[in-house]
Amino acid sequence: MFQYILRRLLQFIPVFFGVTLVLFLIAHYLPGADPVQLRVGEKALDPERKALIVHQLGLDRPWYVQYGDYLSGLSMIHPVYYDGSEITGDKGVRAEVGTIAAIVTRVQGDVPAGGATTYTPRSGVIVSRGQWGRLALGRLTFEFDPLDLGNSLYQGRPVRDILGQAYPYTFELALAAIILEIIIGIGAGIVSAVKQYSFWDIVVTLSTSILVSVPVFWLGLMLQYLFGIWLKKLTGGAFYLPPMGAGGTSSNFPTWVYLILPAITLASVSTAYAARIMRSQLLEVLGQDYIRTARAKGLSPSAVLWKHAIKNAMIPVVTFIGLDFGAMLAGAILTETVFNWPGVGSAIYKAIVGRDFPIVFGGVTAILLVVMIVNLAVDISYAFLDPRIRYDAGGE
Amino acid sequence: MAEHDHKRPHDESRLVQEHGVRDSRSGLPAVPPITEEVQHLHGDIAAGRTLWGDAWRRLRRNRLALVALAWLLIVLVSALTADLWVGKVFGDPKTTNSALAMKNQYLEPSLTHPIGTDDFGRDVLGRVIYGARASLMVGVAAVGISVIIGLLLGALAGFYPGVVDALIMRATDIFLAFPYILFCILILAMLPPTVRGIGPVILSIGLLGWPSFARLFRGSVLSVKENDYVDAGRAIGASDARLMFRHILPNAIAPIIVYATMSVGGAILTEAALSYLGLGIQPPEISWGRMLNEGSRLIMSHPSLAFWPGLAIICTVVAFTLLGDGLRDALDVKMKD
Repeated sequence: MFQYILRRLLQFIPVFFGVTLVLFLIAHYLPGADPVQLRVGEKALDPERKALIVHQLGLDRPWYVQYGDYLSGLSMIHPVYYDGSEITGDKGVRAEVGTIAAIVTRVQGDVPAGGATTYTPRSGVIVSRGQWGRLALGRLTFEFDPLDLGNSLYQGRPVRDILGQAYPYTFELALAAIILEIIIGIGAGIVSAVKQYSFWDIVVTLSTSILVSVPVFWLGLMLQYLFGIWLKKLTGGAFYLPPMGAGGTSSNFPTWVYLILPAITLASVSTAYAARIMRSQLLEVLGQDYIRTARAKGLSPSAVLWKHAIKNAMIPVVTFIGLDFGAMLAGAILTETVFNWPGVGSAIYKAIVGRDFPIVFGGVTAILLVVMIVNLAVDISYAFLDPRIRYDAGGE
Repeated sequence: MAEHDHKRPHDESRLVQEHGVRDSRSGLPAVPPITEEVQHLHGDIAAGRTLWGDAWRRLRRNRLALVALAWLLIVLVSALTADLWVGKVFGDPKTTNSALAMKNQYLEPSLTHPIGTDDFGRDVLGRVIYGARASLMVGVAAVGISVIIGLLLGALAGFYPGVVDALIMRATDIFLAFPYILFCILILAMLPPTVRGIGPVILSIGLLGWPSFARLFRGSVLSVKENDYVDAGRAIGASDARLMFRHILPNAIAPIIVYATMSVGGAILTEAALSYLGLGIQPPEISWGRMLNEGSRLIMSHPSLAFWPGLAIICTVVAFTLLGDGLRDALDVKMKD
């Protein structure tokens, strides 16, 4: 099993570098997009000023240096030269080293001992924020400051803080959706497999086939209308959230009520998949010899089903749901947009509309990191779930 | 990130990869063997029987697949001929004429406007028919690009084990590690709004969708490669390219066709999502996703504007899935569900 886990961990390394490299290449070298404009906003620039900004942003350095810079922004540690003195920026900005260190991601040139030096802010806005930790080794200070994703162009705040504020909402929504998915998806799959070809089986098979073809945001819109207009009197306006742009809700219902429609929407497609996988897995397991053996030795049908069949059929379903939880945690752009849910997905959508590129790029980066880490965690937990992996050293 | 429909093909393929590896690597008899008994069925002339003829005969017996095919043909034909008649029957679907908007805005369904009119007084049915053009175009073209790249890389990986194989497979790992709609969003969000449109949508979906095809085709190539006729071809001195394209490709293509058919629906859903976010088709062009984007703002007062294009998407995506299922059975491809 340890070999399996080790192998998974090792496989994670090329995937991590590959994904971040692809992201980096897209963000810096996409034909038709102007990396400078994306980073300073939509203002007219004369060529001289533009060249200066290219230099300030470090976009004139070789790609691998820029990629390394991007990675160091993601990582936990920035080496920052710190001697307690003030440093002066090229635009005359003065600030304490300690407070701006998070923004200074590159100190250009050699740092003169005890003297002033120039630094290049990631964007024009100086924002101070605390560090998570600090380790001083002589003159060199390492600041623990994970996920430095730059600053928003228009909000004047670090992208990390914007996403960090949105994350609890995304987590809440994902948790509600995953609970729905587990209960309804697995339940429907079991019913459908145990009573194969029955009325309920047909209902489940048919509805899951259609559900996986439904655009989630369309489902969300229709639910909005259904509960906002048709069932408004009946429900007293519960469940319904004002659609895009209308702001938060002020009402006399507990907050969890407003979680229901977005959670149903977010869970819909995955629930259909979970039910399908559960059904086909359970049917496959039920057809196997050891089930016949269990029946033959006189076990009751329910004991056979629950102790022998479902337990084994669950493994792939649990994997699917685990991966799905990662995807949901990462933020559901469409669902959150439809319901104006203040999560990560909404933040990205608003940034797309407002052309606030650092938030879009930072948001996508953060999402991919979450997806990769959750996928890795699911793969590893698989080793504990599936006993076959424990004995088969290789795992594949 | 969970735009469910779109990331699905990847999660699915991931599951296939996790649990169905044996199927695609060992199994996959790409074509059903043509036996003598086939020759006299229905009294057909033996010389006229081909793999595709047999597949068509089997497909014809699958009612669901036929309904799907019929629906897709209706959508396709009306989309292709839309320029000829939609304007005359339903009025200009792209007009922003304010006089017309005043006169015809939000009409109830009637004989002249079967599902009503929108905020500009344009016939919604006419727009749905027109919107099919962009949606189908994106679906087919994007999957076409993915298939071509996937076939090339999958063939290379399957044919040249070792470094080439390892490199290509690691690349597919990377691309399958996340929902590809995220990268589409990033790419399209970076483009200036004036550049956005159908071209970038097709390219971004097409260029990011290839890994599943590469992985699938590699599996087919690996299994077909072991056949005696490939050895025979090699023995008489056929070049690698000839072996690949004349001997292996025709026998390994069936799963690709099945998966491609199913993927068109996925690409249509992705287009809808991107256009809904304002990143895809730009006005005055029409696609189903674009109509959903415009309809979503009026959802509380005029839900039918979002309802109908959504229904068109669902029907079409379901149809591509059913047709894919039918083709899978007809071509006797073993794929994990």
